[in-house]
Amino acid sequence: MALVRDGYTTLAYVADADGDQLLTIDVDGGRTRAITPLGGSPAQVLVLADGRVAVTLRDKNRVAILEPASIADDSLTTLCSVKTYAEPYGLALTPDDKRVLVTSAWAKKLAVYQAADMQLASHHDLGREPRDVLVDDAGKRAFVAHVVGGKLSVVDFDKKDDEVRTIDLREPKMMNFGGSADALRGSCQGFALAKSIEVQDAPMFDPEQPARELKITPKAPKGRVFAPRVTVEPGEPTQRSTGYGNARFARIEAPIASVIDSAAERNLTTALMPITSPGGKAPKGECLLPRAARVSSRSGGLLVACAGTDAVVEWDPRGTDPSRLERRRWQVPAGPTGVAVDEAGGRAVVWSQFDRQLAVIDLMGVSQSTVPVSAAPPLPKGKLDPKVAKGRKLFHKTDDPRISNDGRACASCHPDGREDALTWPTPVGPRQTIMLSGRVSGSAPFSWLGAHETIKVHLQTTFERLGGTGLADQPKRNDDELDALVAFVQKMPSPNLRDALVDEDKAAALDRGRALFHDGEQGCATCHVGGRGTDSNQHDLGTRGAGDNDAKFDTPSLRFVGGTAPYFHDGRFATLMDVLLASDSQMGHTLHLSRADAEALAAYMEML
Amino acid sequence: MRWLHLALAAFALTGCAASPAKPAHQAESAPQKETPTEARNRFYANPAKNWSSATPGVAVTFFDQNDPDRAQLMARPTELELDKLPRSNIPEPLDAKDAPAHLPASVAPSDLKIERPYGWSSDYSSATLVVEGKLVRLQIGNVGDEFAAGERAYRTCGTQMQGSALLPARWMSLAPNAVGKVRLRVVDAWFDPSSCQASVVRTTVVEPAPLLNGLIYAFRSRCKDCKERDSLVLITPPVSTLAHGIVGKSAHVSAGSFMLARVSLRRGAAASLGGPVVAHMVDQWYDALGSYGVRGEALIGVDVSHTVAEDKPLAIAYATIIRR
Repeated sequence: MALVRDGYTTLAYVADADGDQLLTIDVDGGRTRAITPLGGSPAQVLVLADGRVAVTLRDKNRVAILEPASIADDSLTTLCSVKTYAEPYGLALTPDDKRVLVTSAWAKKLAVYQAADMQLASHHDLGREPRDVLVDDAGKRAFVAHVVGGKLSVVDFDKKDDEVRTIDLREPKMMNFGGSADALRGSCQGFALAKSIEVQDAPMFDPEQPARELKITPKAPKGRVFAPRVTVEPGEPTQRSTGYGNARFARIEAPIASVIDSAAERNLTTALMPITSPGGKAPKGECLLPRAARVSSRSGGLLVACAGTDAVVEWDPRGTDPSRLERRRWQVPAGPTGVAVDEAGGRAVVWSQFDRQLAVIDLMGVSQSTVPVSAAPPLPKGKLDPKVAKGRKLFHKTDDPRISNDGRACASCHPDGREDALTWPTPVGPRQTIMLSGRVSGSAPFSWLGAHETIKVHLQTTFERLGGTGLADQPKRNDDELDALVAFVQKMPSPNLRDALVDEDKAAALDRGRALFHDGEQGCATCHVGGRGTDSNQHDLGTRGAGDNDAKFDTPSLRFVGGTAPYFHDGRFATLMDVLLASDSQMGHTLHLSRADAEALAAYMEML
Repeated sequence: MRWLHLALAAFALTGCAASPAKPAHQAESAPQKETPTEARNRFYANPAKNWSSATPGVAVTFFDQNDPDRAQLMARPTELELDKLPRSNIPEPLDAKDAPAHLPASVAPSDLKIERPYGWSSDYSSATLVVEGKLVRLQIGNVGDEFAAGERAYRTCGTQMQGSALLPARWMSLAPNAVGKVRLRVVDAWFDPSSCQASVVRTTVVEPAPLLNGLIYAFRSRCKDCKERDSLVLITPPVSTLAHGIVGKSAHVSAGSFMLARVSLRRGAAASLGGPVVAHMVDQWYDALGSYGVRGEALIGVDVSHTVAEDKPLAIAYATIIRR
């Protein structure tokens, strides 16, 4: 979402992901002024210096460039649509307005375009699942958040070939008296980024006298990047657990907002506090699914949209973990995915995708209620099945005792329906989280052992392992929640790998890789039928490891295998190349392949 | 009625007379200009009044009635005026390798008691050394000040220990002084295991400033010769689960009946520490130090950070009191 001024009116350009359209909403008048069809599902919106509007079309692998009409009631005109890497998501503009930065979630890329003509200037390989991107004030470095892995990428435009560095955001596992920091916690939910704003003589909010405005300049914090996410401690995977996770001394999942000294590229957040409320349980209403973040210079707060609790929280950015320092919170319509700040108006505007509603938060007042200003026009019939929509809300609901007893939601381990790249201890051994989106239909039986014939049984087993009481199975009722959840899990959007920009060397290797995959000598397609399918059988491939109960594992679908590292049921292999090189004679034959052929095979598998 | 008017007029005339000149120190001064830190504290104060207590830095919240172990946690940190904190320095503990051959003659320390069990004889026994006071800590030997030290130390001592080297000892007490301030007294001494006697080398007294209405005390330590030239020293109640993180590997945390932490104020460094304090420990703390803050379960924390771009270190303290 992006805000623009139209005379005395504030307009919000809203990426309506369900409607495949850009909404022009009058924030003051509370009505939708225009609808611009996009032909794809938009992720983020960016207004360029000359008024053009860039939109990432996530499922079409394109960036659309639009031009507003002379009056806000008219749709925007599409100037061009630029092909980009798979699953474009985040957008940012350099301070000189000359370059547009685009992250591609599935392709693990940052692409840099010339703003004037949207020619591709450069592209950079990143880690898994990049999302939000922001540029430092000097325009020399880009910071990129990653949903999994607990890392922040820094692309340095000042260095030769735009060097890419990473900042590790993870915290030591144990930090009590005498505790050793010899291992790090995991991380997930790194969707959002924000940076501190240095304010110069702006009128400020005086909480003692809300009607009066202060003329002060809060010089600090300064030079900080905030990365709200979730810190995860699954425990020791090879030790048995009664559910998912066996961490003994710390919370399995807790929100955290890493503070990065942007000049030093150093993470300042190293402690987890408080990890529990004094009663020993997780605090209520924690932000376990942060989806967007902005700093407001007017309120001084770090605003974070929390999808799990349908709230926007305001954290104090002066702390080394602002997530511990909640100042205010506002309930908003379901599924907040975008926050923008209208500094002049002293308000924040929030887009909630699940309810398709825009709401306004008065940052200058003491009230903690929001004003819904506009509901998006209804979607055309058949665009979003109400049952799927209901299932999506359930999938993202944190603090629901039916799902888990520690606040975790389905989306906690399956962000965007994918997986957290973590290996969990379970009652039957170590298990890596499996990607769900696009992989559920036609891949029965379920679980690594193929133990569950239906997805319903699999979901109920998962709730049980999470300590949840479970959802009632009432298929004859129209409002059955389990049915709705199953419907969403089967229909959730998956990455589209077609029509995406692919690096030349990988594109050149695809045909060779396809031939190798389907060649009997390698034997890949014997079990992974057709490449994306499965033979629905269990095999003993000699992969039983420490902590495993069983030796036979279900053949997993290889759909989207390129974006789900690490590999095997216990996450023992970091890359596809590792799998291919290390599993000869256990799972097909690869020892005889040249390095180039092995890379071609891996390149093909990445496109499955 | 007319008389009444006259009387009021007379009264008014008297009131309108020019006031005698006030002494300089009583003259009404212009409102004090806010420091940037005060301004920021006002700016960042939690506008949600229902979460706030009257004390800056302290937020009050309640356990959920349906789930008495859970509360929604809110905070309203207060930024510390680091330049206004008292300055002092606690010297490094005595080093065992500097121990003299014989116990130097000195007056026996009045606050260190040796409790001898019944039937104790000088040729062999184990004695208990106790520091008097409510909030005290004692450590004898291996004084590294890294880990927990209690208010009591059990030592084998007596003539059987003849020839044993003298051990460094440090005991500390935190107590209100005569004028209502809190005083941290740190005594460094040599302890003789053969005679069960101690000889005081030096006594350091610090008057730290109260933060969060006395839930935490702090002073700034500046020392040219120390490993850390500029640091913030914090004294807090013992937390049941300490969480601390340091960027720059330059913090020191030790705990006993109170927690003593020293964090660096260097550019580029950051530190955070804190954790939950159980309600009865909060009560004990206030009772021992004569302060009157909000009581209940407390989550306390202090964050110090100084980014490369910032002119000064930024330090905040906060406490969330959770009431049933």
